[in-house]
Amino acid sequence: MLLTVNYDEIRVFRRVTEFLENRKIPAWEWFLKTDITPSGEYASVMPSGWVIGRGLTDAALIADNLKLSTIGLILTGIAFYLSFLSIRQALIASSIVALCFFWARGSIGLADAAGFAMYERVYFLLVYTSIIVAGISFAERKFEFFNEAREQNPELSVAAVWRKTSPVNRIIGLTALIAILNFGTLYQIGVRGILEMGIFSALGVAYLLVLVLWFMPALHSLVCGDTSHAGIKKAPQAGLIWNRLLDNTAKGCCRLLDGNEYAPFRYKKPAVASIGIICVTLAIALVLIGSDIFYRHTGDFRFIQVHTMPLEFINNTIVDRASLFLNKEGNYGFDRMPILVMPKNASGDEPVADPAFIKRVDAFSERIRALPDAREVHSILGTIKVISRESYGLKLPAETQQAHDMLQTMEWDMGPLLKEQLWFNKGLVLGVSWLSNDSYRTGLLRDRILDLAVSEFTDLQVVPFSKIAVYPNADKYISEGKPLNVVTSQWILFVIFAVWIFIRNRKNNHAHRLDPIKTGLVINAPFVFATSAIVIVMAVLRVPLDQSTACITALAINAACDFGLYLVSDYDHALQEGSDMRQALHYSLGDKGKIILVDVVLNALCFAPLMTSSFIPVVRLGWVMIVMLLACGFGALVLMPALLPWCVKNQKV
Amino acid sequence: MLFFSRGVAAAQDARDMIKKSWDKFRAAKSEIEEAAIAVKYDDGRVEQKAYTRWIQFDPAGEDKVAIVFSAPANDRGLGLLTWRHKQGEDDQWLKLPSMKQVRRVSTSDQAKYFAGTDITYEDARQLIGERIDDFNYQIISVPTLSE
Repeated sequence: MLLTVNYDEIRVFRRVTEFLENRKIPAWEWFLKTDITPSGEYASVMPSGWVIGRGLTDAALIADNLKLSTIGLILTGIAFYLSFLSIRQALIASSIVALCFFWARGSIGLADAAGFAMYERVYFLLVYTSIIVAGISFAERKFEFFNEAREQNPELSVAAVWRKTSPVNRIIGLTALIAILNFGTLYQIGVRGILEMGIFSALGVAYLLVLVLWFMPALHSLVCGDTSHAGIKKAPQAGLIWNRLLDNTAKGCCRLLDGNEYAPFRYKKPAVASIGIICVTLAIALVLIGSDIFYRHTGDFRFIQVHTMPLEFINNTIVDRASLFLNKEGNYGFDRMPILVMPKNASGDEPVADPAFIKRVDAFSERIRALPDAREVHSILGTIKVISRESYGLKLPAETQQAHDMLQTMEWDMGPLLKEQLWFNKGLVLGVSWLSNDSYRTGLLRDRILDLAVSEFTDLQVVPFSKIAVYPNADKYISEGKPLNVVTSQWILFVIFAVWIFIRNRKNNHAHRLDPIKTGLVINAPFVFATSAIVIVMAVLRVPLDQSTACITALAINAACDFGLYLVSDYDHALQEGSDMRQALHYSLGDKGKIILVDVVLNALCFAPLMTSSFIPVVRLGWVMIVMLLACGFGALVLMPALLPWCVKNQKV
Repeated sequence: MLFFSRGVAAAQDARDMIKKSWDKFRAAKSEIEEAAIAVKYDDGRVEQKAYTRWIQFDPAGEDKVAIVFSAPANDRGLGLLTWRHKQGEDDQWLKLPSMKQVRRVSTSDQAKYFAGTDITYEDARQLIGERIDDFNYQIISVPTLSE
């Protein structure tokens, strides 16, 4: 099926689906459509090719997004309940996240109306995910602060207690700023889908900020009135056990760093161990990455594979089955890559009719056919050969007039629309069908074709085109853009945290205070450790770096900052209250560390539904993200607190 | 009933008028026409084409029309012959300059364009004149002198 230039994938997909299913599909059904079911005389037809594949991916995406975001929202509500031990607060916090979903999704329409062509692509799911991550953090902190203020001020009205929560706004604002900047840096990767994910995630965080800081207190004040605080006593047993478990875990982390409260406080040993763990993990990760960059392994082996398997998005669908059949040895291949071939030194009005050019293109086609992964090469040369044999008794035209006549009759037979897809007066198109299931191998084939042209067909100008030909470029952009993106995020974090500590220090007149530069570095520790750990996991478990896993660092950096920021804030708060290093550690980790664990568990719970996705890359994203969160949690609860005493400097009071 | 009769009469009048018109047209035994056309492409290119058209009217209704291109150079000798039959389908043959054989144009190809122009095979066939039995004619309105 040849399509006109600027075809609309969704429209083509819908027309083909209705045609094959022999029915008009109602509008609502498209929201639930995850496969094509041909019927009647087309029952045995299997559509293939990327236009249908992508259309099906988009259709399945809508159903998947609806399912996963709903599950995520329900889990968030349960998680909120376990944390707040209040159904009302859990419902309000969940509704804020749900509202933010609508705002973020609605922003696509607004962006479109404003003239920016934005779409709901596969990775819009990550926008919802990042909203859940940030939503949990913001609502959790705000309600936590509210509940504490209410405990301390039982005589105040709900509205008055909410007014007392304004100090937490600054830290929520800082977390939001970091998240927005991190999502903003995703443009560095240079892939449109990731850029859009970054923009809408940043917008989602901004919306959340507004909703949590102002709308949520207003809603809670309106809905709750001045009801008495239920308190822990009325909480269910499960909630109490859950809270006790988290509390004990946090205290356990504290004991790990300061085992004997009665002995003098020695922080150097845990700090050295912490630095050792971080450095070893980082070194292994750097060796793996460096080895891929500087050392050429046997065959196509890489420790970190960079590729996208597009068919993983439509696993077990009719298009997937078609691909399995077509990609079998000896079969045609799943799709065709169009390649424009033109003579370099053309003369006359119709170089395509030059018999010498036609002969060269024929030889070029034969050479392409022999390349690994290539299956068939189709072009008008097939018809030209038939006409040549039938009309002139030749293999190929020997004179320009013969070629011209053949092209004329072919054009009159097939019409101008079809003709312009196959040739024009300056060149012709070769359609190379290939084993198309992997962007990396597609890129290899495309590059081999270009190498062949450069080495053996220097008289031909060869230009692969269409979305399929440029699809492998996304791998290149990801592999080149991702390290830069990670480093940029680190710098942003370091600067923001250093400035933040510097500003906080202006009010600190006590003996101990945090050094802005050292603290800026130490807050990055959980993220450095988690990123390095995930590189090792990806290398060991052969997880490819693709468009979904490339977004993980942005999500993880926000989670890691979130974990670390509150711990450092509490640590610094304790110092400002006159505590020493040991007291500050016990306060921030032993007493307040539970909230970080809540955050880790809630975030992990919210990523868990991704593992039920019908898209394999999203499933992979789900479990990799959980591993990343656990690594961030370990970094924030063990590695970073071990280093915090190193950041404390004494001053004369 | 009166309306129906008037309708049939009007259609008959229209058919007669067309028939008389074509009969006058076919009064000449043959016709030769030299034509020059400019074909404009989307890329701005303009190609000058020229052809000669011969029409031979046969009293028995076996008319023929031949179109032969003389320009551009690579179209020189490109020809199309249409043979109208009194009964049955007309015949059409295409001759390409470099090919010895002629190619028969099938009925299903009638709507297709040829020679890189906006002329279809059907258009070329109708140049001889319409088969009036193939059409229904109606007088939709008769303008008065004041109009």
